[in-house]
Formats: sequence, structure tokens, C-alpha cells
Amino acid sequence: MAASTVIKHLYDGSITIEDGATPTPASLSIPFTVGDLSLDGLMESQRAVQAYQTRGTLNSVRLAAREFPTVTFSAQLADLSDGTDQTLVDFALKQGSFGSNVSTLTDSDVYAVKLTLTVEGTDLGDAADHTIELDDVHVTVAIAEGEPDTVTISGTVYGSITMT
Amino acid sequence: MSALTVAAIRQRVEAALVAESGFTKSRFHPDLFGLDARLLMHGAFAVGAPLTEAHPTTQRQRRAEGVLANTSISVRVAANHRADNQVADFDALLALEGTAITTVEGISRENLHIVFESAAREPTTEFEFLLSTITFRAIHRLALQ
Repeated sequence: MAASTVIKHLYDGSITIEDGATPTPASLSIPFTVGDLSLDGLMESQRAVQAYQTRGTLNSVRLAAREFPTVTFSAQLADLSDGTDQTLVDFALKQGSFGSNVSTLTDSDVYAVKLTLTVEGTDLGDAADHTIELDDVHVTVAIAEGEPDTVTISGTVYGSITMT
Repeated sequence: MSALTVAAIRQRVEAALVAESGFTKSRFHPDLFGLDARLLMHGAFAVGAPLTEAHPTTQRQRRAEGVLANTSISVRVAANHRADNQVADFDALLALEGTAITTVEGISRENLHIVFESAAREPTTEFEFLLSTITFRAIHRLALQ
């Protein structure tokens, strides 16, 4: 099928966060995301490019150390933490109602999650919605007062990235 | 924060002022309030909601979540203005205005923030009454479905 010709914008997006529990992961459709998700550092090989040169002559261009994409997005803050109600902050920090979450990383003491950005497509005539799945994301949380208060999630993607 | 209609906000403000001693709800639309001094009385007031805008912060406006919005709420209050007691009557207007501000700021904050923005004072055309227009900004979520 031909590529869609409908330009997408922030009003088409939604973000979910999942843990690594099997077969049914804990999941949260993140409320009040503002539409500023940014995914940076995607590369074909996900490895740094090293240029070896001597005396001004480029000898070789080689793949070197692994590099990890980063992701960041924010949401308006409506609730922080609760033992039963579901909040983004609790999911990201593995506390409150999400205190029993399981990391998506195995054989690791790092708590990681899966993030999925879904961009509406079918409503716009596309064959399907579009998704970016980020596996094994270690996230940090920033909370800021303002009008409105916001929660900003920043993460490093250590797992696979799947786009559809 | 659940959605709250503009009408519900306006009515919440109006009800609080109705319950306050010294205030009488006008039968007139807020934009007509004060145009005819013969129809005013000391403590008469009208509550309007002239403008609702999407909050300038970036937001997805997902239909299920609604949109964070700013609604201007205007409270117009009238006070006597007597030729032989002008300064004291102006102080009486300021007292009414102050009570209106504290009353509005005291309404239920369920799904609502309301912040004071300004108070503008002016006489009616023939100086029969003094009018104060107090403007608040209601911050609320507006339903989109």
C-alpha cells in the first residue's frame, strides 16, 4: 500500500507504558500527555562512528561503541501517587499501585519499561495506526510547578525499537 | 480534574454572591448591566463569562481528556453614588468589591481553579451609581465529547 500522505501532528498521538510481566504486562495509557514526545539518537547500527585518521588523511571509518537513543515526553500533572489509583509517576518509579511491576530487562537490577507511541492512522484513511515501540527504557522523572504542573519523563532506550 | 462547563462555573460564582449578605442578583445580562442607572441598586451584581480560550500550554486536546481552558469570569457590582457623600460611597464600592473578590475566591474548587485578575471602577453616565467590574480567570477542563 502506498505511503500515507496525511501529515501527522500531536493531536494524533497517545503514549502507553508497560512493564515486563508475562503474559500480561501492567499497562497505563498515560493521561494528559501534552504532545511533545521526542526520540533522539536513532541510527542504523546504533553504534558510534569513529573516523581514524593520521596527519589529515582519513584512513578508516568504523563502527565503535554502542549508543543508545533517548526519549523524553511530558504530561500535565493531575495526580502523583496512590496505592490503588494509577499514575504515571508511580509507574515510572515502581511505587504505589505499580509497586509490584516487573522490569522489562531480564538478568538486571535495573527497572526498565516499554514505551509505545501510537499515532492515529486509520481515522485518517491509513491502512493502520502507526506505532513506535521502545523496549527496555530506563526512565527518570522530573516534576515542575507551573500552569499547569508537569511531569517530564526522560529515558534511555536499551532494547529494540520497532516501528510500524 | 474532570471537565466543568462554563455555565457551571458562572452559576457557581453567582450562587456564592447570592448567598452573600448585601448582594442582589440582577435580572440583566452582564453586558447590559449598568447601562440604565434607573434599574440599578446598591449591591446589585451580574456575573458574565465573556471569553473561553484553550490554555496556551501545548496539549493534545484528546477528545476523551478534554482541553485545559481559561474562562474569563466578570463580576459587575453597583454601588450608590450620592452627591453629598461621594468619597464615602466610593469606599463603599471598594468594600463591596473586596467582599465580592473574597467570596468568589472562596467558591468550591472542585475541578476548578479561579484566580483574580483585575478590578476596574467607573461611574454610570450621569454619576448616579459606581460600577466595579472584577475579572477572574477560571482554569478548568472543557469537555470535547
